[in-house]
Amino acid sequence: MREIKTLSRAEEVDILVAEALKKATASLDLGETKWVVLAVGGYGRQELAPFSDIDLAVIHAGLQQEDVKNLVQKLFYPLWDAKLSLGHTVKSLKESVAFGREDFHWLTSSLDARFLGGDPKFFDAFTKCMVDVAGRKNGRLFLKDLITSSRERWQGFGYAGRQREPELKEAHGGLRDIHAVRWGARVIGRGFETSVTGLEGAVELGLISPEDAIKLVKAEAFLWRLRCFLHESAGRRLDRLTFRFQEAVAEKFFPEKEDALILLGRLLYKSTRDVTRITSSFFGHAGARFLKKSAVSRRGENRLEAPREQLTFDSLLGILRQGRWGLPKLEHLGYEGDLEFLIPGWRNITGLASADANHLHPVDTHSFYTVVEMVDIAEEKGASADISMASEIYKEIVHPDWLLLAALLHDIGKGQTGPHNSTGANLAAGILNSGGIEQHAGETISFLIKHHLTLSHIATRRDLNDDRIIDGLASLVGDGDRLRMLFLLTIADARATGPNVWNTWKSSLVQELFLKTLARLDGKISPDNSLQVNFQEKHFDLLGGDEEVEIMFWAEKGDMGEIAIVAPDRPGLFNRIAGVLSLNHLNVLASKIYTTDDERALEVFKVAAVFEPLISRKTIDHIRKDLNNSLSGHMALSYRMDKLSHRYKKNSEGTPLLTRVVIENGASDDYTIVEIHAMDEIGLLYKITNALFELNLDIHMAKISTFGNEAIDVFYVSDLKGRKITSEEDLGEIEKNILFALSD
Amino acid sequence: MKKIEAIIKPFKLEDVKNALNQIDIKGLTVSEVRGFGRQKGHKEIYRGAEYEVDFISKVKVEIMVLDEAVDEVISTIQEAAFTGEIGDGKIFILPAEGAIRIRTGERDKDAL
Repeated sequence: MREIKTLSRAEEVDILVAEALKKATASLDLGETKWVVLAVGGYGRQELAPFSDIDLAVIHAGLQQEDVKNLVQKLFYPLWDAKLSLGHTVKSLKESVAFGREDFHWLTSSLDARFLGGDPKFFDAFTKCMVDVAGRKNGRLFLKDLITSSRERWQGFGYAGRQREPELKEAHGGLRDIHAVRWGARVIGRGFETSVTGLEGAVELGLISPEDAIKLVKAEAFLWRLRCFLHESAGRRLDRLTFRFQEAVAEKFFPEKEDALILLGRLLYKSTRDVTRITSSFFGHAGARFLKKSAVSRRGENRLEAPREQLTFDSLLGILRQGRWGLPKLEHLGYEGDLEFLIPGWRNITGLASADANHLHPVDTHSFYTVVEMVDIAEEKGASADISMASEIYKEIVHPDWLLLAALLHDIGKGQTGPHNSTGANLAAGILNSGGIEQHAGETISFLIKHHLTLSHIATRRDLNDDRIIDGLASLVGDGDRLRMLFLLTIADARATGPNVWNTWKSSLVQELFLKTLARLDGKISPDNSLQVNFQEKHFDLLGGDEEVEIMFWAEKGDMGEIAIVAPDRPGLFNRIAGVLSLNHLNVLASKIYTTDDERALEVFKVAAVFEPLISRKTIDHIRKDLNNSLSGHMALSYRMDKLSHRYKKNSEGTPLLTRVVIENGASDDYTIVEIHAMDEIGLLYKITNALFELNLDIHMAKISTFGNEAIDVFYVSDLKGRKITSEEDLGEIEKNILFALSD
Repeated sequence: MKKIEAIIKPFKLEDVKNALNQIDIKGLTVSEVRGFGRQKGHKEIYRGAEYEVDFISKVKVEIMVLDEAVDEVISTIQEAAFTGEIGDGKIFILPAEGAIRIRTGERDKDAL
């Protein structure tokens, strides 16, 4: 499975070395003495990427100092002149053996030594000596050093599968891991005779399954090719696949494929994960078999191979709650496909390199880290002030599990078309629903995903002293619990992204926004936004008209306008008007009501046309006619509304929202405030106000706001005598009647 | 030549940048900074626990301009960054000795 390119480069160098060696020995009289020129390290394995170093070694026995010097000079100088990036070692056999006992790097490097010139018999002797060094105490010492040095290497270079810019050679999951398995397998399995791959011995001993051996060979071929492509693209030695070259390398792998980058990411993930798992499991098995228990930490590697149960959200949450400790298990679940089974689409973000350069990790790993950060917040890890405040806030969250799921799923929409937050919110809603998560939880999580960037955007791009901004956010979020969750998700997400994303600068802005909005929500003043109706002189002028029902319309910019209606005040007036407006395809955005002493009502509506670009005079005439008919009992409004709703396609985009009714008696001295969160639909206002009318409630003010597919309608109501509604029973009836009116 | 440093509210950055573009300012440097002026830091109180906010997040815009452009740049920034609330920020004008474009070695006026 070797790459052709490899052989040719190593062969090219072989030819250069052979020529230089021929010239060098021709001018020297070395006689029949024992010496050998070796290719060691990657060159020994014939693995030369375009810009790899070339490591040569001269080993001798009983050669004069002067002769050694001459040989080395005559051999190496021409090679240096040929601009080879050459590393060299000169040792006597005795030195080599002694050094091999101390220096693990030299020992492994000599195990890969390849004969280039000199005395072949001496080469055999050298190999036997080094194999004996490696095989001391049946290879136990070697294995121990191998495991220790690998762990140190992983500490320094990290896990390739977790890196957005993976280190292909030295990281856990990289090429060096495969070398390590080969070395270990050869030493323990005494597999030098079958040194073709070095893996047969390990398979025979049962340290690696035959399938895994094949996977390892495949991963090696892929990583090797990738490294060569990277060198070519970069024009220099580079073993970290930096973002800059990812596209160029992907293009080489998958020419003319649009999603080359995603395909490469997936392949890279699969390969590095395979290598990581197989290496760890090899070390685990070999350690358990050949080393005393104390020498190898048994944590992790073996436990993962416990018999698997089907993953559910319940069992997943058990792992999410463990935070940092659960990370290896999460990665394992992702690798084994369990996450894809529970969360269809997980595969699409697996190994996906985020286009945003601030990201350290591919999307799936970033999602895991967001969960980890969330648990860190919960446990107050990290000394900064914003964390101690965040962890206080975490304690007040009613359903921390929802937050953990939101953290895990917040980027599930990445790699798809469209904005990833709304796409992700829709995907998550479906996933959670089919995973048996209850509807209210699913909706909240989906909401959090949809808005996981909102706080941070508003905080850095909007005037936080502008009440309308705060009001807008307060209406959007709706309650303090959701706002707290959104705040925590914002922090965890940013902290999981990279070191420069979450800093005190940003944290203090987001915190200010959070606290201001929370104060607004806790104060529970009605949501307010720029689409507010303000009574003006022109509205009141209408009261001076002669008709029983007066209608005036003022066009505003776009398809919006204001309609003012004066009519005799009577119960049910508001819902009739709302119905008539809907029948005429007008969407009510806001409204205000004023009642005169002579029992007439002035109702002002801010409306937008649903179909037409503009609201025409004809529409206004229709409204006048319909309203007169309705008020005089000539029009079956409910019937027509029902017929109308069939004409509109149900708003199927986005997550289905659960209807919520919040009744507040403390915020206003004179009125009971009824707040309804519901899926926006045609005739919604009519249905709600009709439900209020049936209970003899008088509507004094209404604020209607729409955010995407969610409508938040607030009504200031009293009974017909102008008193607040206080009895628990009556309040219960209000809620029930509204929920009933809005149920399908 | 002068160096102009403007400390502004973060959300005003876009407006200031656009306004400066309009008057043909070709380059500026932006940094996220924290500090306090008259708009002192404050204490955030959350459920009884106090969280000191000593410094307020602002954006610093730095521009090098020729003497004759100073007034226009200042009034442009002032207009674009104005909200009328406390904490709108400040503009500082500093004398500058010179400028060099690294790639070409051009100096002063040519380097701006």
